[in-house]
Amino acid sequence: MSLDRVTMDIGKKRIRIYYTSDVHGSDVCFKKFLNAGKIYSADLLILGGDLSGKLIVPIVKEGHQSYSAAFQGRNWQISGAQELDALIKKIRFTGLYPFVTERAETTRFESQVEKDRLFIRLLSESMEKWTKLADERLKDTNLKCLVMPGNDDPYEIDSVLAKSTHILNPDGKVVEIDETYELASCSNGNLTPWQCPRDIDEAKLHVRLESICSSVTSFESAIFNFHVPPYDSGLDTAAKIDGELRVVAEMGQPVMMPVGSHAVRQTIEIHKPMLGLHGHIHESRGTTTIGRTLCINPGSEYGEGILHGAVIDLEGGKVKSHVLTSG
Amino acid sequence: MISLKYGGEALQSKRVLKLAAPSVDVFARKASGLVRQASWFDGFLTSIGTMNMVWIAVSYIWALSIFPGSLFDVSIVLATVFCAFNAVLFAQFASMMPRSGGDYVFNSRGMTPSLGFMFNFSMVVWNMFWTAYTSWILSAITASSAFTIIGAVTGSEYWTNLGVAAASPEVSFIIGAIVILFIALVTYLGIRPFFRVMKIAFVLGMLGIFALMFVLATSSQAQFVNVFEGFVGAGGYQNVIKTATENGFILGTGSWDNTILAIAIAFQPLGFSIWASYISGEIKDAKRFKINALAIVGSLFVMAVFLLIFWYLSVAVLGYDFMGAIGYLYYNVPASSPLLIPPGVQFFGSLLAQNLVLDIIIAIGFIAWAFLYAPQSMLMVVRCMTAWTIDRLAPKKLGEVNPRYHTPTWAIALATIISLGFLAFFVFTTGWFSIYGFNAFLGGGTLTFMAVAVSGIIFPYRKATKQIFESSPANQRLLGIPWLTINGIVTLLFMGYVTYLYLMPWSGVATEASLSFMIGVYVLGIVVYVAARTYQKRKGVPVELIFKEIPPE
Repeated sequence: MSLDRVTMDIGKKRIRIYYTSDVHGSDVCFKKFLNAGKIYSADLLILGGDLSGKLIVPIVKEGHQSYSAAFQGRNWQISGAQELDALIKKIRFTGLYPFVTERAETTRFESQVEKDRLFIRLLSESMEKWTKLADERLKDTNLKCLVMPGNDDPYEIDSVLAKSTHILNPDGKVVEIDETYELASCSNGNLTPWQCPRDIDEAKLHVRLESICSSVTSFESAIFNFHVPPYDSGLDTAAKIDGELRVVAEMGQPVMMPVGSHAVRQTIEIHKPMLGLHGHIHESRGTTTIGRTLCINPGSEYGEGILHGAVIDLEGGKVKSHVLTSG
Repeated sequence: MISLKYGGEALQSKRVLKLAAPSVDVFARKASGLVRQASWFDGFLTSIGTMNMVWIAVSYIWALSIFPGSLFDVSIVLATVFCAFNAVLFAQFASMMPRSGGDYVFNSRGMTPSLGFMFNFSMVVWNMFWTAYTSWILSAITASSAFTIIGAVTGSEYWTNLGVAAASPEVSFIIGAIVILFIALVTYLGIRPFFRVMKIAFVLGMLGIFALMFVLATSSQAQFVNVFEGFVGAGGYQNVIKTATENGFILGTGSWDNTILAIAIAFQPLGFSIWASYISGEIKDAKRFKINALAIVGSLFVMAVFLLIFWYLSVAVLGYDFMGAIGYLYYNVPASSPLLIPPGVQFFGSLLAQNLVLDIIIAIGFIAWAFLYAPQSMLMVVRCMTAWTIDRLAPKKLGEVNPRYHTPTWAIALATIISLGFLAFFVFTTGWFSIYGFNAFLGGGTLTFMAVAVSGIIFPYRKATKQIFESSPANQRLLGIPWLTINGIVTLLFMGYVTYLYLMPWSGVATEASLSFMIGVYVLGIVVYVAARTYQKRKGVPVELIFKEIPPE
């Protein structure tokens, strides 16, 4: 077996996959993901990328047991351990990272380098908690669990995921399931205005996808777990952003445009897999078909603690049924 | 600065009232989706476009002819105050669950998916009706008025006859159908051309509003009497009042009873500032509540100000008694009405202008306002239908988008056919509007708002939704009671009252045929829901999982 091929035995005639994506640091969504197997009677859980939160909320110690924070557009003034704990939970619920600090220390984070360093630290700590929780919750079950980073995730989290005993990071690999289905995965995305850690240009992305697909033996029952949706598929419609990262709006409506990947689309059109699992564009929840390939983007509302996902039943080398869920 | 109490159980335990130190802002990294917030003004324009200033043409005349003696300015103020609670409620929901779908999203999550669908189904049906109705308004009220005025100013019999014809069933069907088909085409061509057309209509509409304001503000009642009598004949102004009185119209003002009842009329232009929540929920932002509140509540207040300005101008120039009397004659004693087209403030303003350029600006402006309504309704219908297909509650075909324009062809086609059907029933069936017309404000308005109000009341307390509320910017309380609940209670009571007003005899809603139709829409919604779920289940699709809550612990 080559390094980029992994086998996974589920041993069932009908396999139920639960797929979700873009939890962006939300503790509650990750916990729901781990419980989704039980609730949806799934055999295989897949988290398709973008695990990292986007913002750090500094909670500044102002005096003995009193703190201030800017969160949800308001200034919070709290005091006491109980209130601090409640605020931390609230911040974590929305996928942001609370950071309790002294006022004097905050000046250190004026530079983006220091902010990024802090992000990596907090993100790694959070991911360690998640993987420990996953190992604990999955240890006595037959559930298989794949957790892949997405274009938003720094490469530093790969080493944290690798430590888990019950989570497999399928990025760049082909996972063979019950000798029937082959799941090819890619965390990278095409370039975005934000220049995220795993953004690469379309040409490089195409090369990478083809490289991963070269390990697939049969595309008839293959599954592409590519974080980014195919270009112009209806699963990639997002608000147009101007040069200052401002949403372009006309008559109160954001101007929407396709922002998916040409390389992903091309790879799907060339190889015609059975199923495409995608995330990345939170507001483009839906399903579509490209040729014979059923493509799914469950969308994301991680900030509200709602876990959008897809339950997909596979049988006889085909997709038997699929449904989008909101859990 | 005084800081309010926010948050969950622990935070509520302490009364916080102290000086706040400036907080350190969040640290951001390069991550997708971190966009600067859309301007509140963008959302504001959407809501203003939906509330629609075409009501300025008819609201006062309807209010004074149906509820004589009412102090309609007071009705406007009262309706504004109470509609503000509904507006804030929708803004709070939009900030908690910022995605398109409005009541469908709020009620599916706040109550149950079946109730969410049932109320949204009714909203969709009535919006298809509304598409037809406003297309008819464009022809029968704004276009007919415009043609008549052009005929009067130019002395052209052709235009005068065209004005009368535009209000006839045949021509209003043809014009209405062309409007509906045009809207369908623009919707089909994609969101950018759609909003380009809307923007042009909005600018033309505002030009018309300011032109009318200018004409009324620079005219006196004596001038109006003069031009009106030039149009209908000498003594025509007093004759209108006299004939109406002889036929049962009650003169006078200061009736508080009718002022309270006229809230039903004031609700029509003011009740729908919440529209931005249906179609502008795509962008996530922690400060979204403020943006939504500014857009939704701000547009409500601006609309109220325009309504009040035109009310005072209309009373001063057209005359309080005249407005009630002319409406009374046209709608109740048409044989004695000097006008063959529905009376409207824009019509009288155009008569006063005596200037072809101003007349055309006013005419095009009000045609543009009437036009602005229908596309918003069509877009809402199409978006909801697409959302249903995602939840497997409608045939997959409805959600299919055409590859060129990325718009749901079949959903647009279905909405167009049903709207045309409504239009045909509407213009060719006698009394159709009087039987079913005001139902739209219930099935497509107050009843759905009441359902959202119930969702708002229970949302902070339901196990499944409590955490969403507590972690959202909408988590604000008054004496420990969530504002969401308070807004829900006030909205429930107010919308219940408006529903009661529409069930009174004046509206024609409380007839067997009308109520059967309205209830039938809800029943049909439930039938569609159950049938869709049963069908999908038989196909092996685990539809019971769609909204199944996953416990995090």
